[in-house]
Amino acid sequence: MVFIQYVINGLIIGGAYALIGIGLTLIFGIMNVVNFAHGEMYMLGAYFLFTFFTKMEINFFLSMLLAILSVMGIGYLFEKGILKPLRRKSIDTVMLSMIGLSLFIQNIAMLIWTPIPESIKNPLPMKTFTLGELYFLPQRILVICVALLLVLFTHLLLRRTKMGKAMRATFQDLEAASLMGIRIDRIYSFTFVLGVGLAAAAGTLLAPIFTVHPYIGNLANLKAFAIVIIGGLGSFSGAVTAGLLLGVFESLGAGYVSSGYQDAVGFILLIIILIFRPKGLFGKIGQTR
Amino acid sequence: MKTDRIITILCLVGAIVYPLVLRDPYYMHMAILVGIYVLLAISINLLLGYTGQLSLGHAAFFGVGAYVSSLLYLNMKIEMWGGMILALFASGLLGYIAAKLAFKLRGAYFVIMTIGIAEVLKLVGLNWVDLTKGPMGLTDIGVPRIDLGGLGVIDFANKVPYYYLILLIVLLCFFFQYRLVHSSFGRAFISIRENEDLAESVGINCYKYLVIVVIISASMAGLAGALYAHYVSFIDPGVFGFFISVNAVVMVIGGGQGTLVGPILGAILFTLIPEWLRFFGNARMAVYALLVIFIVIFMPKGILHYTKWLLRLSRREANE
Amino acid sequence: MNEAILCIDHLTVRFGGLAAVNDVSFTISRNEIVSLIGPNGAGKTTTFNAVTGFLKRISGSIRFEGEELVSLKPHQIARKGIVRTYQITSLFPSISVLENIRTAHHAKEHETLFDVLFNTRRKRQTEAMTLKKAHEILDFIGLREKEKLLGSNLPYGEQRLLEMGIALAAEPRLLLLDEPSAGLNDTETQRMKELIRKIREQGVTILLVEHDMKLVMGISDRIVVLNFGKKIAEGAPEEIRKDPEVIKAYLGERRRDAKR
Repeated sequence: MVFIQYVINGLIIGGAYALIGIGLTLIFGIMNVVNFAHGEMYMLGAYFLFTFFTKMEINFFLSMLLAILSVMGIGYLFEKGILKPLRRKSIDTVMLSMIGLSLFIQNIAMLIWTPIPESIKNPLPMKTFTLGELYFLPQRILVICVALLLVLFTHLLLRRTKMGKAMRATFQDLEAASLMGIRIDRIYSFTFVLGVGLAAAAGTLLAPIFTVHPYIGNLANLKAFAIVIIGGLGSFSGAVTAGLLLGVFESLGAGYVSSGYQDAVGFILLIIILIFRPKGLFGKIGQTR
Repeated sequence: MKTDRIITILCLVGAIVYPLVLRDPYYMHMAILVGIYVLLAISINLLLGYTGQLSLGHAAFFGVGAYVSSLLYLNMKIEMWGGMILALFASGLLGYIAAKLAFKLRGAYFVIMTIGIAEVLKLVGLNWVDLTKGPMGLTDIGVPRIDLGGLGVIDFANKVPYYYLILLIVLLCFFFQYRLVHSSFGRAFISIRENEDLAESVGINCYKYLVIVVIISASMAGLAGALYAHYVSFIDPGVFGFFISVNAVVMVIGGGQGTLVGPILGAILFTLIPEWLRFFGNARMAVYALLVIFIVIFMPKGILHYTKWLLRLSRREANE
Repeated sequence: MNEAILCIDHLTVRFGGLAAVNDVSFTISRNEIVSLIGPNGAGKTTTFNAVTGFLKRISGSIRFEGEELVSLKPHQIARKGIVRTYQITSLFPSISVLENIRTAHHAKEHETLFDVLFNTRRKRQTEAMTLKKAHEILDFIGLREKEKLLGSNLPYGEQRLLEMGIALAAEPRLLLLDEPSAGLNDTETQRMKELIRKIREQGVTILLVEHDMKLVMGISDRIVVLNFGKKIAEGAPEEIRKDPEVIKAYLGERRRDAKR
C-alpha cells in the first residue's frame, strides 16, 4: 500500500514535471533553442505567485493566473529581444547566451526578493483526505488536476488548432513550413510564450509544496533537460511520459533508498538513455541533431 | 612574428618576477587562482577550441581531482605530490569513461551529457557522507614542506612557493598544449572540429582522437582541482558546481578559443573581472551575467582576435 | 588485362522499403578509369557511400584487393587505400590550404604521444615528410601559391581542386570522385580532366560519378550505368553511347523533366 502511495505522490509531482518538460521540448524541438533559462521561468512563476498571493493578498487562483501571465509576458520580451536577433547564430552561442540569461535572472531575483527562502502558505485547507489507506493533501490534488488540464489543453492545441498544426509543421521541416506561408516569427513567439507559461504554471503549482528561493530554477532546469532527452526531443507524449516516470522514480527512490539521492534519479536515467537510446523513448526525427 | 616572440618572453619574465614585485597576499592569492584557472581553461580549450566539442560539465573532472587528492591526504597521508598524480589519473579515467559513454553524441546531446555527469557527481559528493562528509566538506587539506637542510625550508603553505609551483605546472601544460597542437594529433583534433566525415574519409579515426583529447582534458582539469584543494585547504561538493564549468568555458571563449594564448588571457580576465565588479555590490553577478551574454554574442572569437583586428584597423588608418 | 582490384558483388542497399542500390555487381581493374553514370537518384552516390563504409545496412560483398570491406569503418577503408571526394564542397574551412593537405596525410603519420611531447627524431622526420608531401601535392594540383589562404576563402573552382588535393594526400590506390566537375565552367572542367589523367598516370585507379557526358566519354576506359538502383549497362564508351537501355533511361529523364 505504501508503494501505491509513493507512486501516486510521484505521479502528482510528475505531472508538474511534465509541464516543465513539455514547454522545454516544444522550444527545443520547434525553435532549436536549448533554453537554459527555462528553470528560471519556473522560479519566476513561483516568485510571482508569492508576490501576488502572499504579499499583495490577491485571491490564490487569480494570483496563479497573474503569475503565469506575467512570466509569459517576460518570455515574450526575451524571445523578441534576445532569441530573435540570435536566430542565425550557432546553437552553442544561443545555449551559452541562455545560460548567461539564466544567471542574470537568478541574480535579479535575488536582488528583488532577497535570497531568503520564502514559503507560500497553503490557501487550501491542510486537512488530508483519505481514500482507503491512501492520503491526499488538497494542494497536491490541485497540482494533479491543473497539470492534467494544462496537458490536455496543450495536446488539443497542438492537434486541433491551426496554430498547433503550424507548430508541428515547423517542427518537422522549417523550410517547407515557411515556404508554405507559415509565419515563422509568430510560431516562434507563440511557442516560447507557451513553453515558459507551462514552466511558470509548474512553478505556481509546486511553490506552496516546496520552498521558494532564487536557485530553485537550477534543479528544475536540469530535470527538465533530463525529461526532454529521456522522452525524446520535440515529443509531446515523450515529455509527459518522462515527466511522470521521473516523478514516480524519484518518489520510489526517496521512499525505498534514500531521499538525498532523489535528485540523482533524473540524471542517472538521463545518462542511461543517452548511452543506449539517445533519441529518447519517443524520439522523432526532427531537424535537430 | 617577431613581436609575438617578444611579448611571450616579456610575459614569461613578468610572471617569474611577479611575486618579487607584488608580495601583497591579495595579489598573490589572485595570481594563484588565475594559475589554477589557466589549467582549467587550457583543458577546455583542447576540447572546445581545437576539437570543437563543448563541455559544460568539466567541473566533474575538477571536482574529482580535488576530492581524490584531498581524500588521499586526509585518509592515507599521501602528500600533495602523490595526490596530484593520482588525481590526474583518476580524472583521466573518468574522462575515458565519459568519452566511452558519450562517443555517439554530438552537439547539444554531448553538452547535456557532460552536465549530467557533473551533477551526478555533485549529488554523490553531497550524499556519500561517510566518504566526503557531505555538504560539510573536507577540511585541513595540507601542503608539503621541503626541507633543504642548510638552505632552509620551502613551505608550500606560503603563497610565494605555491605560486611558483603553479607557474611551473602552467608552463608545462602550456608547453604540452603547444606540442600537441603542432603535431598530427593536433591536426586530427582540428579535423574533427572542421569536418568529421571528411576526416574519416582520409583515414582519421575520429573516435580514437576524441577519446584521447577527453582523457588529456580531463586529466588537466583534475590536476587543477587537486592544486585548488591543497591551496584553499577546504573543499565541498561545490567544486562540482555548474558555475565552475560555465566560467571555464567563458574564459576560453572570451580569451580566444582554438588559440594557444587564449585560455591564459581568458583566465586572467575572468578571474579578475568578478573582483573588479565588486564595485556593483549585490548586483555584481547580475552584471557579470550580462557581460557573459555580451561576450558570447559579440565576441565569440575572443578578445584577442578583436583587439588585433582593432589594432590592424588603426594601423591602416594611421598609414593612410 | 589488369587484375581486378575492386569487386562489387550483388550489392543491395535499402532505405526503409526502397532499394536505392539493387543487386549491383561490377569490377574495376587496376589503373582503370571507370565512370558510374545514371539519371538522378540512380544510386550512384549511395554506391560510393557503401564502398567507403558510411552505410550500416548493406548486403552483398565489396572486395578490395581481396579484402572484404563491408562492416569496416570509413577510416579503416581509407587506410586500405580507398579515398573519396564529395559532391558538395567538403574541406576543412577555417584552416589554411596547406593545413588542409597536411591534415589529410594523417594516415601515413606514425608518431606517438611520447614522440610529440619530447620532439623526438621520429616526430621531426614525420613533420618534415608531411610538409614535403603537402608541397608536392600543392604543386601537382597547382595551388602552391595559395597555400596560406583559408580553405573557405578560395573561389569555388579552386576549392574543388583542394578537395582533390585532400584526397591525394591520403595516398589512395583507388580514388572515388563524386561529380568532380559539378559547378565548374568549361575551362575548369578541362583542367579537372587533365588532373584526373595525371592522377591515373601516377598509378591510381579511379571510379568516377559524373553527369558531364563530354567529360565521361572523353576520359573513361569503361562506363557502368545505373538506373533506379539497378545496373542496366556496362562497357566501353562507344558501346554505352549506342546502348538502347541507356538512351531510354536518359530520355525518360528528359521526358520527365519536359513534362514539368
